[in-house]
Amino acid sequence: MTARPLVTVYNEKNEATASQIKLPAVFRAPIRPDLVSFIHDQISKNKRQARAVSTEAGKQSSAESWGTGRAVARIPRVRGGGTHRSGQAACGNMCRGGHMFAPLKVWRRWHRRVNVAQKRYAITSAIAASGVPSLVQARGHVVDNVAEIPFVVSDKVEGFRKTKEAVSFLRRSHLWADVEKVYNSKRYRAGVGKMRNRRYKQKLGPLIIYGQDSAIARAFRNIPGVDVLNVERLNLLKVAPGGHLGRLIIWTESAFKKLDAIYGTPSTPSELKKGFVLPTAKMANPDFSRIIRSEEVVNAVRRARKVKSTPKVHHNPLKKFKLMAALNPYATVLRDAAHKKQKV
Amino acid sequence: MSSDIAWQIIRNNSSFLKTRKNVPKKFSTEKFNLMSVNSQRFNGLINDKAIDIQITGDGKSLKISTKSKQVQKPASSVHTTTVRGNNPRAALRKVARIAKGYKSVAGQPAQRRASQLLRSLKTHKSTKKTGKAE
Repeated sequence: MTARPLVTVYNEKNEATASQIKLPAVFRAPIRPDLVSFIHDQISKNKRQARAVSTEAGKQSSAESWGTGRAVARIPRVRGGGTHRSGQAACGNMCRGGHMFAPLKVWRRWHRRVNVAQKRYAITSAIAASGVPSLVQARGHVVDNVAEIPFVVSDKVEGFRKTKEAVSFLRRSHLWADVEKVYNSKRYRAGVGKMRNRRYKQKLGPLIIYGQDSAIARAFRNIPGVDVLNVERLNLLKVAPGGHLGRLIIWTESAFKKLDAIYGTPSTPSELKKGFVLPTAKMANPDFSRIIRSEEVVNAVRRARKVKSTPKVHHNPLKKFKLMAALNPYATVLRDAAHKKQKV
Repeated sequence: MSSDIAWQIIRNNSSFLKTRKNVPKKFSTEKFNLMSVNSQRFNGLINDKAIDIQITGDGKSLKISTKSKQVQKPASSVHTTTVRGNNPRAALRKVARIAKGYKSVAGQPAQRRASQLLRSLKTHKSTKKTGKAE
């Protein structure tokens, strides 16, 4: 499906404007959930901060083993006397107050480097998926009354200063239902994260992608669930949160227009990403039902052979004389003799 | 977008997918899924031709929706008709007429679902149960 239809731009009051933009070629990139999931997994490791156990933890005791011959295990024991602690085992991972098994080190490999080409493939896949209403719905966004997907809004939205304007825009465009979903999903986090400054969890709402740096982020940032990104610096962690495709994206007109320059088309290379060409799918036409019904296939294929199998009914020769006679010709003779006897 | 590819993406990963431990069948609660079953044939998101039958808000009629060709425009992609629940036979006939074009997917399941919903719409006369005299 490489057709690129015209997408209508809506104004901040959700009225269709006269301006229409040809769908950028990114939206026809192959959708690869496996790749997006993998790349997301790798990239999400890059914000991790090192954690480790103290290097001296469990080792700060001058314990020494008593050796053999004292009817105790050979584990190092605390020296001295006068306290419960003296003679207790120390320093092993099995000991109370000893170091742990394989103490955590700061030099664990926390970050992952990802190939640039793969990162770019993932982001184009994620953008393409955001243009498919069924995937956006499957992800959980409420889009029943959204005018069009992909949803493109005039640049007036980029000029918003007040959250009030942002909210009224979202309400008018029937996107507020998705934000309400976020409000309703706010709950306590399960687990210890509660006491580690991660008390609440909530779902994600729409993502707004703008073309020119302005104060748009300030207007939208206080609305729960809403994220704001610049087209030139898209973040896979926001476009495909959790590694799942189909986030609801609101594009501003200038952002939408920039997509062809950023990612290129099959005929023009990308202006901003050196050496980048949009990925192509393995199959040009993946629609199975269309393929098997196409002229070429129908003409090449022979007719289906319908094998009519009538089940063979088994009858009982004791009840059906004709069968008995076929099996045992003497049965006829016996029967006639029996009849004669009866008559007599 | 090809429904086959969309199915491969959605089949195991959807907010509508409902699974439970020790229950081998997977259910799916999206609109336009007549059997509420997670399968490519009945999935309401990926099939262009689909019917949905629900009970209206007031609980008295059936709401029959069909998908129109405007896939990219969710707001205008659904066509709804309502059928009153007081005459179940007429309602089922109407459902049959609408479901005619959807033989491959809907056909019988549409009738089945409609008749089940209509049965639930029936008002039951409350019978006073007199207690047995001691």
